Amino acid sequence: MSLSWGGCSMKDTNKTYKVPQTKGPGSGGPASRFAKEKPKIKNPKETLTRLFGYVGDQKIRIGLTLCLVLMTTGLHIVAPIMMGKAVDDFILLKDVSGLSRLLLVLFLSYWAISLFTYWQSLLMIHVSQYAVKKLRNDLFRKLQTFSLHFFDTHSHGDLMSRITNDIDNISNTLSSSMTQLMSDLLTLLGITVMMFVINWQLALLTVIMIPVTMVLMGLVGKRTRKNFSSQQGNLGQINGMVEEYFTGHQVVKAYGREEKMLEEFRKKNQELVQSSIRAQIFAGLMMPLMNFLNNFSYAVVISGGAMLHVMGLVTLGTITIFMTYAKQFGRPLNQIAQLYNTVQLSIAGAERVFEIMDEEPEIKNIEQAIDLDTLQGNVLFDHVDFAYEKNRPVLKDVSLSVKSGQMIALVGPTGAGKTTIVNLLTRFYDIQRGRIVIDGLDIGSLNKESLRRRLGIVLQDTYLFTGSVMENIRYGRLEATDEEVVEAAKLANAHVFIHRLPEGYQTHLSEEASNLSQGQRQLLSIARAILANPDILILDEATSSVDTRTEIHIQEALLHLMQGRTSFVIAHRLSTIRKADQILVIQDGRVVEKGDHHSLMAERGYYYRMVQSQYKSKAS
Amino acid sequence: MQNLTRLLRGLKKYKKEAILGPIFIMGAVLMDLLLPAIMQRMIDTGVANQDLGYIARMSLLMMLASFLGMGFGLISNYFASIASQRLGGDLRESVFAKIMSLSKGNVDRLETGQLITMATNDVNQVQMTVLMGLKIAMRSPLMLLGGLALAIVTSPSLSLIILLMVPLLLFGLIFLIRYAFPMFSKVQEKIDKVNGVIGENLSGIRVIKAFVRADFEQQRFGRVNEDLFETSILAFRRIALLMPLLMLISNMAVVAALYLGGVDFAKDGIMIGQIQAFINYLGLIMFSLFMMAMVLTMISRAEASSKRIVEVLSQVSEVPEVMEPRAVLPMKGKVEFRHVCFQYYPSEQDYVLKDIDFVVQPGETVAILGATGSGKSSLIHLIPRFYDVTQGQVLIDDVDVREWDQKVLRQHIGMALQVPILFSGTVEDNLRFANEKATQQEMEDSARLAQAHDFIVEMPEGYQTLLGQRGVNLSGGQKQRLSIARAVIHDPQIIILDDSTSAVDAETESKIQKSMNERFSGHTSFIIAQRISTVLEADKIIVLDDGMIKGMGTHESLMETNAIYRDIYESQLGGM
Repeated sequence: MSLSWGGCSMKDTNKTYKVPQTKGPGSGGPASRFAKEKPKIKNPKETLTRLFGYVGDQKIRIGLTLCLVLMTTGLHIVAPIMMGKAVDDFILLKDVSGLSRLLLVLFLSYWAISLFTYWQSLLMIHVSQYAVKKLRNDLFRKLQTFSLHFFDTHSHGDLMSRITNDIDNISNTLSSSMTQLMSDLLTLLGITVMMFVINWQLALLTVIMIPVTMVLMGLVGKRTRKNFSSQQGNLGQINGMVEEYFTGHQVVKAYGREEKMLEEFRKKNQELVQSSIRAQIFAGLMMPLMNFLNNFSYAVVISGGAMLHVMGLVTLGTITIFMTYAKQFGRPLNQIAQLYNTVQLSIAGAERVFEIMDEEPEIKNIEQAIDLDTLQGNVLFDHVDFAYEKNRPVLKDVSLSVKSGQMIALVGPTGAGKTTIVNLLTRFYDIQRGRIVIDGLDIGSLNKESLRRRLGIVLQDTYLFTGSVMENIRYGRLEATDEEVVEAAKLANAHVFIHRLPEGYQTHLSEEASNLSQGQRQLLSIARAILANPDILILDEATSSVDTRTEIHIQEALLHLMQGRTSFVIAHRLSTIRKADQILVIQDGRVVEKGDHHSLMAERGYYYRMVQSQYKSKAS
Repeated sequence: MQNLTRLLRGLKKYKKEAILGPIFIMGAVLMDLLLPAIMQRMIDTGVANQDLGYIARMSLLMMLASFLGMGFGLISNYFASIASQRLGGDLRESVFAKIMSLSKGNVDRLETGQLITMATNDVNQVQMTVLMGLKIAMRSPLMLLGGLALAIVTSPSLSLIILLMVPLLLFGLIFLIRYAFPMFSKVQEKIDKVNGVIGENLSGIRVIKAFVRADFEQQRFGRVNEDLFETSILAFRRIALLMPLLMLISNMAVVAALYLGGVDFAKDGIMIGQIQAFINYLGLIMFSLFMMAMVLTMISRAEASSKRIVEVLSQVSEVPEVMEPRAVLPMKGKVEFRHVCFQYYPSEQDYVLKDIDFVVQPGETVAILGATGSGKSSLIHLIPRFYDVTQGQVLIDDVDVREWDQKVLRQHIGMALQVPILFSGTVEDNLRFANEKATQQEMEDSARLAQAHDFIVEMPEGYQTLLGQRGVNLSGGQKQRLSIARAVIHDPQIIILDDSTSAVDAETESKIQKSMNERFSGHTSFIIAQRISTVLEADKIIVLDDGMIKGMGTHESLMETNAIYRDIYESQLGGM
């Protein structure tokens, strides 16, 4: 790929074309090259082998690429020699017809170089993009198999960055860095050999550059990385600050803290400016330094050549050859160190990707898991213990029994473990001790997907996807017709507000559905559950953000839906749960009271006090 | 270009650096241009005359030129770094200051996510461009002109090649800018789509699992991924054509130079050193053109960034401070709405609030009830003047809020929101956010009042426990309680609770309510709540429906006269 002749070599031409980044703080610019600390790599060999597994089915393309790299490198090394020959054997001898014959060969070689280079890029683009696509798909599929515990304990930002940034790095390496590195090394080697063959004195003068360059690059590179990582740290802090205070703009305003915030920002910003000036100065050293080395070595070789020529030791053609070689020499040297970093970065990235791939899905179906078609809805918790993290038990010895068609309400203070109980029922998590039995079958023996298909869940935190309102409701049952979707929306009392949206059911919901109110989002998620037509219904604070009047209507719909179905209801508002067949009071992970509204009122325990506090005004 | 130019005016502060940087780079270019000329003398005079002394002199000259070139380059880099990074810092600061000065209405419309991207990425983009610009923008044109001039001086006859090569190169570069680079914004779009699906899957994982939609999601992802694959291949293929093409053009020029030079040499019209120098200049010309293309694409990207920055910087706060803001102290807490109509955007057909008219005397407690979207939050947002009314007036202590000194006004209003916003930092930092001067005792009292003290001290480091961004390590109810404590410690004359206990269980809620009533007796309070039990004791209950007041009065009077209110009451407390 080198483009050089007796003149100035093109140092920057082999830049990898990175897609301009528009997202993610601190990206872009040459800074990103130094942005990360030297990546830690645990097992490069194994990682590389695995990575090559992804390109393995494209052996022919890779083989062809290797051949092309060899040929182009060879031609690159030979071309200057032809130029030297042109000077010595033809130009100086004024043999124009001989010159044209040789130049025709050179002409063809250059064409071949360009064609081969292009072909080689095409091949590698396909190989790398295909591999990366597969890698992404695999990673995504793997993610789907993990339990909720995995998502609770891994930062989403980190996961995102593995699927995007790390795979991007891998893609860069596969598509260009690898062939580039190979071609650079071959060029360096080939040129060195050729130089020594042609004239060892001049060759020595050129080769001296290598150690000098290495030392300089090492020195500058180290300090640059150090400065960049401190700049990057400051930038991260600033970006974090921006994100927080822009998001919390309203609160800043409400408490009149604008000036204070600005002062704080100014301080951090000054630190950032100082560190980035330092980083840029160091990073900027490289270009003039390398330029100097190139120019200097050019000067040395020419002068040396001229003197040797006067002494009759070399021909003018040889000087021409070395002039070209001297320029060609600098570039790969320059690049190898850079490429080495890139490759390392992507191996580290690949390791991070494979780390996820190797993660075991925590909740597996047993070998002969039972597929369920329908559920009757008899649920039994038998002395269940559960902890999200070891040593921090959330549920202690919880027992409950629900008969088909019953409504059971879970009440208790925030954080008592109500949501955890329903999370276990859906087998989002596996329990540590005890048994959960549905229709006489241990939950562990059931195919968890078939179980979840029979459960309908409306969660505290609603989640809507990018797409139309129609698509979002249909998520509950993919094969539902438009009419069925509308019917479900009507039941959930969502139809009226949907109708008022600019494009009705076809209204596009943006990311995080910011164009809907919290209550409206909940109505959609209820409609979704209604559409799913489940055997067991779970309502986890399903109506907490809906105003009371709307709630009345939803409740009608829900009561209708609950009929004949076992349902678990978690609610803060007591009116919601008065009609429950069973009320369980959960406190600190234990069931402390159990019974229906009347018996619990008679017991005069926690439930009674709770009701009293809610209705105290009425009593007075 | 106009937006970038406008931002570049900020360089005036760093005039010295911004001028010295390019000047020194000119020196470096000059040295680069000198080298082939010296080389030519060395060959054509020194070698031809077998003059070792001359060769040595020329050789020293070349080395000197290399040294000087490096020196100039280093100095230029120093100045360019300072100017660009300082400009970037200034930009970042003015953007931040601007946002802090804007009203909630402005920020709503600009969208927080986009503002964040703008303040981080766009500013960086401009900063990088300025840095590169100061170093390269002068370098390439100068190198191009110098290269052209010296090539023509070296050999006018060979210069014909340049006439052919330059247009071809330009064509190649235009191809790069017009045809290949836009593809990459398409690739970025596809990447955003892929990221979007992943992001949704991470946040919505519970729903996906609950409805067993893994296959569906896999298909969805497969589609966007395939799309990305195809677009990337197209984009990379186009860009892959560029380098071989450019290489070919310049290599052809070299072959042509060798041939024409050889023919000329045969006619004794040229010397060997001239041919070599000419080839060197060809390289410089080609290199400078390529660099110019890079700078151009960078500038066009920076222009897009600048446009976004300028757009924000030129925003005017929607709630401007009047010339002579008033502050009637001490504030008594009388709140009056006079025929207030309000809409967020003038383009909206309907008003969010219609003819709201009421007076709240100092010390009264007002509860606002109403359906989702009936305008409750909009109403209370008008009190601290987050927005300005469209028609009518909001008055506090008989002074229009638009005439109040905004800072003083907000100093006397405390708010706790349904979606509490906390900042990273310790619990104490978050509480003191509302009042730096509060004593330890006052802080703990506020926390106790909001039923937050107990869980705070149970945390590993109590009040010194670090909260993650937006308080991620707290439950919804805990965040709400901290937010209430924060409003309390602010020690306001008017306190506003906007459904701020929705995630708190009923027992805790009633405790909070009780202590709030004691603490804020004599203060004006506004309460938005879903649970009717919370509002029974209010001095005044306002029933909102579709932006209009449908009933106002005490519990008893509303029970008698207002059907909507009765409805709500019956649904929650009836039959007990």
